[in-house]
Amino acid sequence: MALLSGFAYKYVLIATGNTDFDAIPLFSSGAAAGAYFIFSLVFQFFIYEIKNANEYYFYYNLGLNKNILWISNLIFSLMLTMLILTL
Amino acid sequence: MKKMHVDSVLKSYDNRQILSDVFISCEKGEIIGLLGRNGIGKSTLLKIIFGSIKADNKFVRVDSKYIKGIFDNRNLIKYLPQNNFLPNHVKIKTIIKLFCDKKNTSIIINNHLIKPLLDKKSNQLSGGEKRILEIFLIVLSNAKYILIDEPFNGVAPVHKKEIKNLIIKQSENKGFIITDHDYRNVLDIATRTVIIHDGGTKEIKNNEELIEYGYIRELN
Repeated sequence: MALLSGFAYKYVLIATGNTDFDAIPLFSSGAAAGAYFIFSLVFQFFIYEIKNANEYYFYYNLGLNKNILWISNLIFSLMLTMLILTL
Repeated sequence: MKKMHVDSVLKSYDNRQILSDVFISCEKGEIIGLLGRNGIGKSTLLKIIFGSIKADNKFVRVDSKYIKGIFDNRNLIKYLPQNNFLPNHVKIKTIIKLFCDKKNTSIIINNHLIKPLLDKKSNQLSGGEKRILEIFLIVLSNAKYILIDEPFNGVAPVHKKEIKNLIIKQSENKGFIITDHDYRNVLDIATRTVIIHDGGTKEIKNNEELIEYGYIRELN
């Protein structure tokens, strides 16, 4: 995902008129971190809100409500995002 | 006061009032059979009591604790939904340990229906196997009150008796509210029966009242 985000970042820069191809790195930790953060939230939305919505009852029965699950995912994603940024 | 007390429940969908005059209570040792026609609000009522959906208004108290949502009812109320809810990629024996204490874990893992499933994951089980496992998990969990929505759905007749015996045995220490369209199975084990009619709950004193409320046409 990090490498893909690097490619995406490169083509976005090219598309916006930056023609100094060699100055644009193939891998960018900033783009990778951003991509990871967004994808983790998007994946949670599609998997738990749409595909396996009933799975929430597993967590509800353990005393975890939807807000706690979303906040914990947000915190975990932010921590990993920060870790990727330090690469 | 050692009981679960539910009243003042108001719930409407699209300007249609589903629940309006609900009073239901459950004590340890009781199995409340909750009956009603399709779409009358049985599952909605159970979800409101559990806290997984919001009501326009509700009052739920367990013993002396006021229950506002799911976070408040940990170890007090557990709910078995109509559809399978176990995560697909977790081993069954891990799930059992999450739900039950040591004593009940030992009961489940030594049960002849569950034992062959222990090393499998949920997505490797049939619908009926999942249902049986879910019933065991919820009924043998450490909660004081158990809400069960259509437990016999998809379960082979030969296993229904075993499930009924399990619920009766566990009701010595817990209170149950159970709903199922197979009403004979509910009446078999219920110590009290309540029907939802016109948005409200009415206690059933004899089976003829089920005909009066339009739930069944004749007694078999």
